[in-house]
Amino acid sequence: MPEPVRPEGFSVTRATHDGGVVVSLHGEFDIAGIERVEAATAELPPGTQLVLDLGDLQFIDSSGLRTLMNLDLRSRGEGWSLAFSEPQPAVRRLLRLCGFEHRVPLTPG
Amino acid sequence: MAVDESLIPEDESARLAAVRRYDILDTPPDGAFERITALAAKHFDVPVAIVSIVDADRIWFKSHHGLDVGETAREPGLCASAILGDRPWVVENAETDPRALANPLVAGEMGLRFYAGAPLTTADGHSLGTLCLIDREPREFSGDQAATLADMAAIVMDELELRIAARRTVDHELTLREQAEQMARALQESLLPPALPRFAGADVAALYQPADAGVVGGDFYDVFEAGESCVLVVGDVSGKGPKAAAVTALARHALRTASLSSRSPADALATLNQAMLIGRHEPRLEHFCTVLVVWASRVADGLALTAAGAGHPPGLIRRAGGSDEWLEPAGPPVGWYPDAVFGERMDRLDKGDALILYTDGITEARTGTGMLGADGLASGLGGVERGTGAEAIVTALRRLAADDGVEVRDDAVALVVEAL
Repeated sequence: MPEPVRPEGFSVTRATHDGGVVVSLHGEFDIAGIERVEAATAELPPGTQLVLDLGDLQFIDSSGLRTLMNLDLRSRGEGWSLAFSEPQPAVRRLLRLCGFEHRVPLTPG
Repeated sequence: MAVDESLIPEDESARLAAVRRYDILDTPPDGAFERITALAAKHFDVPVAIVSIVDADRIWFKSHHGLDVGETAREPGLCASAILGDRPWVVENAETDPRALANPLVAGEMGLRFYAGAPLTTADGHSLGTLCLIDREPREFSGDQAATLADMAAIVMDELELRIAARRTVDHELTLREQAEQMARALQESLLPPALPRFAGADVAALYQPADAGVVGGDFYDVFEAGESCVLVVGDVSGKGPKAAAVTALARHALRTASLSSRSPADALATLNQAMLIGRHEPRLEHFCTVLVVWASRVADGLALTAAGAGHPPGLIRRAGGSDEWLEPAGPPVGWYPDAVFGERMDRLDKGDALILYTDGITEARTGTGMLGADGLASGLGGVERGTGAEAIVTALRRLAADDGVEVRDDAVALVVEAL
């Protein structure tokens, strides 16, 4: 069997604008990335607008989806807002499949 | 060859049983025993030191320092004599010792003059063999030296005990693992339909391939009749193990029950979602579940499909005419949102068209260039002639999963229906 291709890796960056936080996900989001996404989105004050920039996200597995579903629930429970920005076609298809298009707005990048 | 009866200990049959129990005969050389014989030869300044095991008709050497022989007949009788007592058996000068005078090792080419053997005695008093010293010169051997030799023999015995304990542990673990695998299999089988039911106009086949026989996976499928429809289900509960299996059982059975009283597959999913959320509090379920449910009902020349989805990978429709399409209803995984809404898609299969439902164990299989993906699944089936039955597709999927260039890392499940 040929050597399996390693996941391309995953990284998270965070930027703050007035009234908003942009957290960008890069690469392949699987179970290994959960803690970093949770750390980058911890303790958001009510009224904050969180934009999850998915433009550079190549892949997301069920652990990653669960983290996004958790953010969706948290935003409602904690009084801040969540939007996704610019997912690539494969990720966008998966988000649509999981019913996110009715729950989380998509914003241009 | 019969062995001189004076060389046979009274406990011989129990002793031989002990030799078998330690399972040491004809095992390869082992560093621990090599070290002990080398140490003994050096300490007592003799050319030869041996760990011997006395078998029914031979004396087998577990370690033989300074002697290029792996075993000998029991008859010459030095080690055989040494195991008769519970203390070291010593011949200081064989030429003058009546017990050894006639021994071929003494009289023959070997020219043995000195022998000291301490028995290797088990806790229950059986002598397995000896730790023995041999020299071609006569020697004196003091009581202190005999005591040291007996101590070294005790170290050999400790080593043998360690080996038997380690082997028991390994055997025990193997037994436990086998039991766990049996339980996992039984549990898993209870999560799948025992046999695929038959439906007029539909040819159904399934693939179920767990990633690890000892762990109950969260992938499942189901096929059953509800009203006029054949209900096809493929689902994937996040996580593994007994808790995930309990959620899988709940999902499968709740969906069966809900399907009997629901107007549509989306309705059935909404009921399943409620069932999974009963009694749950924040934080949410440890396990959620993706599902794709398809109701197939017989129509003229084919099957009418209504599909509802809960975050599950889309179904692949392979048209008899050569095209591939996706059956892709949208909705969140069940067991997460109390207010979830599940989308539906309608489609149809004409004669020879096939619908393939699957779990992400297949599409997330690693290939040389990344993941197989849904498109890779479709192209991987390219060689299967269309309209040749559901089993042909399952066979091709099984072959795809076993391909050298495809590494399936998770449970893989597929359910295929072809319109007849």
